[in-house]
Amino acid sequence: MMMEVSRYVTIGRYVPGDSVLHRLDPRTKLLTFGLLVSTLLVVKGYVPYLLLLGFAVVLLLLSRIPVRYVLAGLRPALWVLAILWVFQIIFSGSSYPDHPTLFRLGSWRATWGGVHAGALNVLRISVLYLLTSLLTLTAGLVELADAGEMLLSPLARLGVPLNEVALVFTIALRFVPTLAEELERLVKAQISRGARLDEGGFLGRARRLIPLVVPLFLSIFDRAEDLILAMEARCYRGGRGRSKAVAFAFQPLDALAAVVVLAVVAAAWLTGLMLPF
Amino acid sequence: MIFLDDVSYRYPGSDRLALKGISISFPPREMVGVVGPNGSGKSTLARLCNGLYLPTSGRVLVDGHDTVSRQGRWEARRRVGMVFQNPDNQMVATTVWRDVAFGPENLGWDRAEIRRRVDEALELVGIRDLASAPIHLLTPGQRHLVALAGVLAMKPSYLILDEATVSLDADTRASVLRMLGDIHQQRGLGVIIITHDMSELALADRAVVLDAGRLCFDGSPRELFRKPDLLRSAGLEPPPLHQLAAELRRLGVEVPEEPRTIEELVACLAR
Amino acid sequence: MGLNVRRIVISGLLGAVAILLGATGLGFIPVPTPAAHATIMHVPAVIGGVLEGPVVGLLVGLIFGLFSFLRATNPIFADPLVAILPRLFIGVTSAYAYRGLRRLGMVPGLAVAATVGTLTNTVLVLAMAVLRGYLPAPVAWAVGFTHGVPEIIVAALITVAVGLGLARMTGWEAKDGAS
Repeated sequence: MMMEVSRYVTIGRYVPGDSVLHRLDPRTKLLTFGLLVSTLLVVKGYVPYLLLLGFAVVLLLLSRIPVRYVLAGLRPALWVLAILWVFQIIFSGSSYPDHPTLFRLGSWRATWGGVHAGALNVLRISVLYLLTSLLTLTAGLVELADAGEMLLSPLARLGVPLNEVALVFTIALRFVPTLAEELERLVKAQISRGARLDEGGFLGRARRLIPLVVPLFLSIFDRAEDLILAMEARCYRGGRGRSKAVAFAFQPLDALAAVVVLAVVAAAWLTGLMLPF
Repeated sequence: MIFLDDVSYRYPGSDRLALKGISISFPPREMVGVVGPNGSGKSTLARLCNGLYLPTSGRVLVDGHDTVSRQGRWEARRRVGMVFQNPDNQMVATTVWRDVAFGPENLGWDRAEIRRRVDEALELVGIRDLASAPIHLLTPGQRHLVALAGVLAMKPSYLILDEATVSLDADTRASVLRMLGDIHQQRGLGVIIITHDMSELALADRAVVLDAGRLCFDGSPRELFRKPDLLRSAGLEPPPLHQLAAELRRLGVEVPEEPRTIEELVACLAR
Repeated sequence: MGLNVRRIVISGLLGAVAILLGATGLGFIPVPTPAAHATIMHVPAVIGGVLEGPVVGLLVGLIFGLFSFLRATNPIFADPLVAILPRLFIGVTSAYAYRGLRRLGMVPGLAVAATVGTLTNTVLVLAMAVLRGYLPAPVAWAVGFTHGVPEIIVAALITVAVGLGLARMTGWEAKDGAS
């Protein structure tokens, strides 16, 4: 695994396409994503969660991204979720003192309350996972950073350095492949000295990690000095007075998307409030 | 005109002057080579020209703007573009187009103008087709061109290459220098090449030699090549072509004073 | 907020290291527990806080959090309140811990800052997971102990080594000497 460090390490998973989802303005993607995620974080209940799950599946089909590709990422997570669910059932006694006992394990008492709480968790996490995958598969990360900067622009007037923060994100994304090359050099140097990097227990792994990670950290400070000079030479003097080379334009499609998402979110809130399960 | 008036510079924390009382001017539309061995102060000189460093004593004026003030530095940096040695450490964006647009964005130009200038700069260095390419998939030579385009897009009056071509292979370097020569000729761009490699002086109108923080030669490259003692004492070597010509001359072969290509020398031998 | 060019650049580069540690798996060390991995992905935030102050620590933590949310290596990080929010504090607590303790000398200061930053990550992430109902408290305690200790050891080793290396390279904190 560690030998495979290559300069093609990708962090975004953006798959270019021209589906309805791809064509949305990045600001629309980010804003509707934010709305759906915050709804999931606040609302609780089978009906709203199943509604949102259904909506996420519809979006997935609309995105024309192979369903198998997305589900492949979900499968290992489902195992962990199953284990968490079991834990939740076993240890639920103290959270639901008035619920009848399902079974006992030593001093712990399992209840139906735990079963439901765990099931809701699995649903919520699955929908969150689908939504996050959809966002990162249909939009580039730099594009999303730009969109975030534009959406939050009222905060800039309050003195929040949004332009600077967006630049920090861009620099981070820019340097991941460069530092991956650096890391690859360090890994090769270690291997040529006979180090076996992916063997051994915790202490062995930790000891071998140091000669890789510490030089990697130190190398960035040399780069930083160069980059600071280069940015200043290119007339960088902070976010004030900078213009933006890219602009996005809302289309009728964005209005439609906003209306649909608002309707779904409203339905989720209403059902979450009104239906007692 | 970039004008250094009796400039000395000491690095913070150092007790030695890196530059000692340098007075020199670089008029517009000139192609100058500044050569010197490592530690001679040539990069320091470059960084004084756009206010990245401020003189410990003396003054630096760029088209009349003193770099000591904030506003003067800004004016100097707009006029004097600079390309550094390692292109990886001077790019901030993930794609070619966005990176070249970084400087123009800093200048606060509107979108239409940025678009025009960026496309023009990419065209000028011949990488228009790479506009949307991710930086990390480019070859080292292409990365150099992106760094160059990023500066040219800002429409500087002067361009300083701070050992910008040393890591390139000989062919790529020659083609980059030729391209710079063309841009210099066509657009009247002042070019200052900082290098320890004498062969980069081939296209320059003027050569400046620095040694241990002092100016020890300022004249035409042709004149410089006739002073092997001066070069040797500054720890520099004449370009291979001139070394070969001198050797042939010593052997009694009639060779031109100013050989341009290896073919010229071969022709002399054949005669 | 003092975000000068230097802080922007260092935040970006340390953020890149955090992403790289996660993307390559180098940031995970197998620990003999069912949860399988201890992490050093938070160390860039610690180093950012110690070297450049709380704002840089916060930004590096934000990048770490966003990456862990978008990549969700563990399903509970699909919840942004667990993945992002706790990470914002790693570099901030490290920064103040180092500022408060550096008069004890550089090495102890760095070790304590790394310990504080690691505890911030472990404790806040687990507390959030319990609060959000993903993890029963007894399980959280168990995970906290089995992961917390090795993570603290590795984070302290790396932070001290980087601090000493930087002091030798650039004279950073030269006034405290290489204690």
